[in-house]
Amino acid sequence: MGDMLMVRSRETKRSRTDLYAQVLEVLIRYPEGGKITRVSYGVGVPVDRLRRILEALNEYGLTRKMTVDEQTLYFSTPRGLEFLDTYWKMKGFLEIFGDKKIK
Amino acid sequence: MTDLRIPRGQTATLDRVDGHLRIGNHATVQSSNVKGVVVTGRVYLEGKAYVNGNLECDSVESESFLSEHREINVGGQRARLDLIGRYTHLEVNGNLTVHKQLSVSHSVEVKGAITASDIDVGGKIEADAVKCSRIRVGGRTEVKGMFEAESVDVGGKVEAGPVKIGDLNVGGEAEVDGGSITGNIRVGGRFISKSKLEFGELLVYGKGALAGGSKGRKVSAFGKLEADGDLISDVIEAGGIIEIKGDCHAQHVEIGGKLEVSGSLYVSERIEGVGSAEVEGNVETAHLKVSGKLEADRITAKEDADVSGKIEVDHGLKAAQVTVRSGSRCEGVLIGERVEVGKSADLSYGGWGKWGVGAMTRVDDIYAKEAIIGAMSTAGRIFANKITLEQSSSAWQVTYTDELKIAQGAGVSEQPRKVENLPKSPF
Repeated sequence: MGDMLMVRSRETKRSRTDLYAQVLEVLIRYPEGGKITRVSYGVGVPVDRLRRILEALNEYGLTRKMTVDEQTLYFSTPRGLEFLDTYWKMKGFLEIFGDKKIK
Repeated sequence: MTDLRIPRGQTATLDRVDGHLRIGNHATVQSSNVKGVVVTGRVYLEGKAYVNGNLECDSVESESFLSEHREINVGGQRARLDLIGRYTHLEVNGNLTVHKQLSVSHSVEVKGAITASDIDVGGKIEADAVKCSRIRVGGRTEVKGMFEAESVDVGGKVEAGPVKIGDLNVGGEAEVDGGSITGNIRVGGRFISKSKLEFGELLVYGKGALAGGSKGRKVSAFGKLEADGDLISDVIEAGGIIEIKGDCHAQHVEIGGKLEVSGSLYVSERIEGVGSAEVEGNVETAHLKVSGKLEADRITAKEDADVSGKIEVDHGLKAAQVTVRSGSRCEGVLIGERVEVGKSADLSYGGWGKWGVGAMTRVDDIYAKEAIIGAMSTAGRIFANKITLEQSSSAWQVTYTDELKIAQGAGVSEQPRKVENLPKSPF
């Protein structure tokens, strides 16, 4: 039981960088623009929290917000894709480093 | 055409709707027969909808309900009021057949199988089996049984039984129970296939695990890839670590990181790279060009072997032309038509590193038609028709049939021997 709880808490605890990556992973699946509700369901965070995340991503130039037909849509930018590529590559390195203990 | 609307929270018993069906929030559709409910038009979800039995329709659509938060000010006290909109969820206690698009903004849960043309779900989809042409899910996809689709695009995680998929693109993790993914597999986090998988091009950024007997066109591992048995792939690119617990068959292997094979490595064309390869069995290839660390029981290259770094071969390295670059250390016998030791490092190929210029090149015994021992190089016993020892090189023993050239400053520990016939090479 204790182990299960540990696994669950480790699974659910996402860093800010993980969240940014996950938001972008969902957004790239909506090239026509992602609605905030759909993105929130995909990422698994409430809309109000996602709104703050998207504001930060917009500030960093990783996403772009546009209003089309009175609807607010979010898009990933080329810089966002660059971040995503770097994020997964870094995760790849960590996967390799994770096997070795420093003596 | 008679459209029908089931009001919020109510249950309607139906067998056929000739038109569109609108299902209110928390409303239930009860099938009046075992075949289920047939809707000739569109099914529209206003919120959570439940279907008891099978459902067949033209398409499924849902609304988006935006959540909002507002600041309210009461007597100078500020507070935030969250208005969380209801989300659309479809639950079917049977099979779901959609002729066109299944589009639900939050989640779909089907006890039986889903058959649809296109599936577009924002959050999560769960089913016993799925068959569609294209599926896009923002969050998670869980399919207990067979998962058939031409294109799968999931932002979070995929868990599925046996698969028959064209392209698979997953942001987080994918775990499948074997089958075939004929196109590209791009997984950001982890990819696991618990049973034998036939694949097109597999790109794993994080960790990948394949069952033994898996077969594909290309494997690229940026992180770590494990094959729990034999692996067959036309191209293998080990950017990170590839561990194969069996034999490996390929046309081309490129090692940037580390390749570990507990069986043998059979490469029909070329092995190249600057990383390290540890092969418990034999290595067989046409061309070998590595400048890292290479360990194997026996290496055979039909054409050429160009190595720099540390080479450890228990039963030797054989190639038509063997080149051991400057500063390398080679343990094990070298066999070839022409064996050249101590040649300058191929800088275009990362030949510097710690095997730099100025370091001694050391090799063990050589069996060749022609052996050239370059400057700052030392060999054990040399058996060749023609032997050249260049300046400041050395050998322990030289046995030749035709010609021996020893440059000034080169040395041989034992008296050179000219013979009629050379001893046979170990293999």
